[in-house]
Amino acid sequence: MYVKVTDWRGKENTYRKISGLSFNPQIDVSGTSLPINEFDVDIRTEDTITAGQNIQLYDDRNLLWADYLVTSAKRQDDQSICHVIAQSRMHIFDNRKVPATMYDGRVEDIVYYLGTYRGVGSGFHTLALPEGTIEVAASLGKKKIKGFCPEQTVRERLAWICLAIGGVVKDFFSSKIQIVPVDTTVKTVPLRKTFWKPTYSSNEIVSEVMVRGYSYMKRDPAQGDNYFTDDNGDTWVYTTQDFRLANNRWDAGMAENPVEVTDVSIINADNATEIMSRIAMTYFSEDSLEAEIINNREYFPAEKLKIFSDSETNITGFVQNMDFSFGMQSRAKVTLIGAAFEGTAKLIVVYKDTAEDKGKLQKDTYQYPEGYTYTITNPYPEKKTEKFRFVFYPLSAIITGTKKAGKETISQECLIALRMHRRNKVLRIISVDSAEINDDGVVVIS
Amino acid sequence: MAFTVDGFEWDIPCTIERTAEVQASEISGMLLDKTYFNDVLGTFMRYTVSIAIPKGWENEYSQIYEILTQPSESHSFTLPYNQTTIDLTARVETVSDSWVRLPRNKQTWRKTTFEIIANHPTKQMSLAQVISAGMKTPPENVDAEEGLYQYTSVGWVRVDMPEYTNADEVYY
Repeated sequence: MYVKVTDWRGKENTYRKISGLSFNPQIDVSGTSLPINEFDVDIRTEDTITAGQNIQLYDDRNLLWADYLVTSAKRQDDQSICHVIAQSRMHIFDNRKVPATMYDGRVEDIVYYLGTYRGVGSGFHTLALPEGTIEVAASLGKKKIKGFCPEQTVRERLAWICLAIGGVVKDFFSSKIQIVPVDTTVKTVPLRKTFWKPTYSSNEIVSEVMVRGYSYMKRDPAQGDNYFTDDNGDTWVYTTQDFRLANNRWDAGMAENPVEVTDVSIINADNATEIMSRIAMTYFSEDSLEAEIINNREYFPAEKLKIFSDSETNITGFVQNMDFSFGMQSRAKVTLIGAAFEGTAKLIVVYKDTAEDKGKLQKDTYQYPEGYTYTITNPYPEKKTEKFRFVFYPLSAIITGTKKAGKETISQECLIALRMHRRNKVLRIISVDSAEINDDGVVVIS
Repeated sequence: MAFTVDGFEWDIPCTIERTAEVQASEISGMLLDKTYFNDVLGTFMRYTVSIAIPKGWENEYSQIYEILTQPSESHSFTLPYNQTTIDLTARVETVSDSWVRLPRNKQTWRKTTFEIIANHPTKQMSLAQVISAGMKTPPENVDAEEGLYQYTSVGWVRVDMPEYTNADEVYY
C-alpha cells in the first residue's frame, strides 16, 4: 500500500514508507445513519503535511482505496514520522447547514445542489468541492423526494434522502462519494478465503419497525395544526400516519424492542412501506457473524455475503463494516448482519366495485417480504365524475394474508356507500347507515 | 575480494553463511478449508560473516568494527551469491568477537562474527501476481462432493478413495 498527498501547489507526492495503516469503512444498510469513514497512517517523511490536503490510499496494483482529506497531521516523538488521520469529504458536509426546504423534485437535482452548496463558515470548512463530488446511481437519480426538511447539516439532509430513496453512501474505493442502491445479490465467500474460525452471535430481537409518514398542505395553520415554515417563509400544515411492520419472530414473552423513525418528514405514504421493509431486513434478524476473510478489494461494506462458519453452516447477510489489515494482500474483519428475509416484493391491492359496475377504483402498492403475515386496513375508495363524488365502502374492513414470493395482486370488493353532487352538495346515502361530510371534505361513515 | 561494506573492500579469510528467509506478513493464518494462507512479503537474505584478522591488520580491523557497530539504519554490502555477488542494503543485527590474552603480553581480538539481514526482499512477487496465482485449493464450488482431490495439469480432479488395511485388517 502507499499514499499520495497533494500539496498546496497541486503537486502530488507519493509516500511508500508507511506503517500503522488502519482502515475500517462502514455503511449502514438500514439507512438510519450515515457514517464518516476515515483511515489512519504513519508516514515516514520530512515533508510538511497539513490538514485540508488531499490524500489518496492505493494498493500495489495502483487501485484506489480511499480519496479523502487530511484532518490531522502530527509528528510523533520520532520527528521523521507523521501520524495522519484522513476523513471522507462527508465530514465537510457535517459542518455546512442547508436551510429548511420543501422538496418536490428529483434526487439527482437535489443532491447536485447539496454537493456544491458551500453554506456559511470560515476557512477550511467552506472549501469549494468540485462538481460531481457526489455521484448518484442512475436508478436512484430519477426518484422523487416530496416533503419538508428543516434546517440541517448537508450530511443530515443526505442521510434523510438516502433513507427515503433506498440508497446508501459509499465513500471508499472511488474518488467520488457515491449514492448507490443496496445490492441484494449474494456473493459467496469460499472456505479458502475465510479464516479459522468465524463466530456467530445472537442479538436481541426487534419487535417491530414503525415509520411515520407525512402529508402536507400549504396554508395558514389553524389552532391545533402541526406546521413547518420553510426558508421562503411559506407555511406547510402537515398530518402524520404511522406505518408498522411487526416482526413475525417476536412473541409476547420477549422484551419489546421497536425501531422507530418518526422525525424524517420526507417519508410519506408512497415510500413508507419500502423504507420499513428495508429497515426490517437488517433489524429483524437476530443473527450476526464476525469473520475474517481474505479481501483484496473484492468485497465491500453493504454487500450481501454468504459466509461459512464451518464447512456446512453459513449465514447470509449484509456487511456492516470491514476492518482491514494489510500485508502483501489484505485481510478484513467483517461484521455480517443476517438478512431476515431475501428482499421484498410488491403486494398490489386493487379495490373494485362490481355491484355498480364502476370497475377499478383504487390501487395501493405495498412492499413485504415473502412469508410475511400482513394486516391492512382497507380505505374508502373514491371516484369523481363531472357531476358527482362517489365514496365506496370496502366489504372487508381489514385484509390479512401471507405474502407470496414475487409480485402479487389481490382484489377487494367494495360497495358504493354514498353519492354527493359536487355542486349542490346533495348527499345520497346508499349502502351504509349514515355518513357525514365535514367542511374540509372528510367523509365519516357509520 | 571477499566482501565489501559501505564501499570498502575486505579481502581477508572468512566464512560466509547465508540464509534465505521467506517472510510472511501478520495476516497469514489458517483457513476454513484447513489450508494455510501464507501471505509472503518476499525473500530476505540473511548473512553471517565470520572473519579471521590477519596479523598486522589490527588497525583495519578496528576500522571495520567501528563501521559495523555504527547505530545507523543500514549499510551497503556486496556479498557472494551463487556464482556471482549480490548488492544488499542491510541492517547489522549483531557484531561479536572475543579478546584473547596470549603469553608474552600478546593480545588480540578473535572469532569476529557479524550478522546482517537485508532491508528489502531479494525476491518478491507483485500483488497482482500473488492474487492471480491464488492458492491451489479444491474446486470453487463450495458444495463439491466430499472426497480426495488431486491437482493435475488440467486442474483439480477427484480421485477414488484408496482402500487401506492395517495389520488388523481394518479398512479405511
